[in-house]
Amino acid sequence: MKALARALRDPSSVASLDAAGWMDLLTAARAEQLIASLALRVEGQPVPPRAAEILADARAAAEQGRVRALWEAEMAWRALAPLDVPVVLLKGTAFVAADMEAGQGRFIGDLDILVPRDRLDEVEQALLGVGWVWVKDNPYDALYYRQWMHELPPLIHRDRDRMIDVHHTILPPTAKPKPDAAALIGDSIALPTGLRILLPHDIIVHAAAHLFADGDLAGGMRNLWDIDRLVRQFGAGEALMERARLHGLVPAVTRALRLTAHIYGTPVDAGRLRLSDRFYARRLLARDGWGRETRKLTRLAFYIRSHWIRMPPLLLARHLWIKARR
Amino acid sequence: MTAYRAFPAADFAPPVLVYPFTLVYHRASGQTHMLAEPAPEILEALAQGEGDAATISSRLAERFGLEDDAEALIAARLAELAGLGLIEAL
Amino acid sequence: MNHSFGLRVGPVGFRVGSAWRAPIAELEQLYRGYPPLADGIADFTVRLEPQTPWRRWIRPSVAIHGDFTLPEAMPLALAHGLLAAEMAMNLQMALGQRRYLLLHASAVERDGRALIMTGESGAGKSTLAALLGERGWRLMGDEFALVDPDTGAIHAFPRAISLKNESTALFPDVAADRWGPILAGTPKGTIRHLRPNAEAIAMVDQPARPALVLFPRFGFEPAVRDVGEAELFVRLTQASTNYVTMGEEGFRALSTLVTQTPTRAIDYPDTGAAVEMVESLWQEFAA
Repeated sequence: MKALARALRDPSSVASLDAAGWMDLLTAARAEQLIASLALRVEGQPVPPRAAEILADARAAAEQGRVRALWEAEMAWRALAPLDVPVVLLKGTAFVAADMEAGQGRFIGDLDILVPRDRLDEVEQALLGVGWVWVKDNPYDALYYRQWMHELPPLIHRDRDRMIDVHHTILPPTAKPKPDAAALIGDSIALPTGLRILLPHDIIVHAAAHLFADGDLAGGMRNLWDIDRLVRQFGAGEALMERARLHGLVPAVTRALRLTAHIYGTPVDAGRLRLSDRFYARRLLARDGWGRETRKLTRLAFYIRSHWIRMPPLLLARHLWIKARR
Repeated sequence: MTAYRAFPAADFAPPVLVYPFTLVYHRASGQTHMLAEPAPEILEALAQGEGDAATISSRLAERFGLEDDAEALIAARLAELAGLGLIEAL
Repeated sequence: MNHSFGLRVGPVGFRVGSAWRAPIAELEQLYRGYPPLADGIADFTVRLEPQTPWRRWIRPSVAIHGDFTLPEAMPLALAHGLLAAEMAMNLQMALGQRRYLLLHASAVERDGRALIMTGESGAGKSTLAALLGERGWRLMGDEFALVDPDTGAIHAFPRAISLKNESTALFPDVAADRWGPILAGTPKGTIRHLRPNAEAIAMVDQPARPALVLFPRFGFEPAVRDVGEAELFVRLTQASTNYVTMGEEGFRALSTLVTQTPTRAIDYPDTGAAVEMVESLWQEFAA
């Protein structure tokens, strides 16, 4: 996996790869959903013909993914525009909608949007009215989402088979940091379509929050790559820290900056790598050339940790108990 | 009456006739639509300029013999095409 | 991984890694003489590994992993490791193939022109292709037909053919060394893999123009039915796992195939009748 970080950071390094090295690089890049980003980075470098074909396929797939993601956003917008409610695109769809560096080759899964909490019910009804349906019909899951998560239970469109996550803030209410959701939406920027994106520095804050607080760091290489691209395009510095302070996410942002400088060579004055950062870096790089997850113990520690961060301990026990009985 | 507007021709791959349907590939959505008549004819008529069901029926009447209730049928097809995102309701 | 094997089947390369030696040895036997990986690089990686570390030795079971996986893919017994490898390769194609439009179909070739056979599983398209492959046709593949979006040609993908045990009797003249091990009690019943013949392997890099599409159906009185272009288009989108991800290229490839290739549905009571019907339709439409 170090080979993947090296190739993304310094594309000319691929010149020294033999066939086995390419095989491992392509496999790791695919496993981290970074293969189309890699394809764009190594453009113009000497690449063996078969590897070039595989990379061209990845770019074509990412382009098709971009088209579908933008269409999905457009469909959601048509459903929600009549409500006169601000609809803020998050993550990959926002990157491609605003044509950002971070959107180049970005794999995009679900559509993530942010709307004001007091308009959630209207948004939900409008989506249900035009073909979105609940993914889970289990009442405990639904209740769990509504009580403890920062989003509606996931909805899927019955014809297009695409999921939408409707957020009212960027972290679960049980997490310690309390991002200022009103400021996220209030300072958002309108695109020509009418859809909105977060302030670029809020996008970086969200990406950092997403990297650490919202999961077990799975897919972390990709999330960190987002941060690298965003920082290179929009800069870091005091303006970023001001937004990080506003949202109570200074520790996440500073750690993300140290890690992206360390792993991707992002030009940012992030300070020296802390001892605890090394644990995160090891976890981020825990994948071999066969695409296998390595360092099982590190990963397990992060899995347990990810549940603790999302929920207070008693809640966790209750949640695991109910999950286990099903 | 709702008026509609066609999207530019470049939004679509050249249509393919697979009798009795027309295949339309919509580049913006990546979706393939299999259209039965008179939907392809409506798309062609709308490409001449925006209009509502009445305008479109009079354009179609220049080329085809239309039934008495054609306008209501065309209004319904226009609404469906807009729902699919193939034309724009104004 | 402890053991590995690289193979190229037509335009697609696979790298198979395994925690055990046995499945790799069986693959080497079944695919000997296949061309090496292009530039030493595989398009897809497949991993056969224990679900949990101790399951490598105790009641060993093979989990199917790789570049593309399905969460619901159930592990198989180690004795069925070869089947696991085959299923894993199919999964990579179904979920990851992006260069060619993938049709779930068998294909055979004669005089540079391809006959494509598709239909629901159990319709007999795989057995029929294997039979024709022993009777003067070149087997291009029994599972997937690859349509080149640039040229419209079909590329060969002749993997080992998985046959139900009762169908093996249809091949009395096949040399013993072309058969894989008998796999009893698999999720697909007792099966055995048949290695494509020397001609199929030697000509693997030669594509063919599509000339006829058939929808065979086993177990009915002989009948031939027309299939319209619109029906063909719909049925082939259903038989393709990557039509949507191929985007406009997929649309171009499929609409061209559909508007230029004669198509018939055939019902047949037994394989002998099927071969005769295929030959006669080929004379009518393609010869």
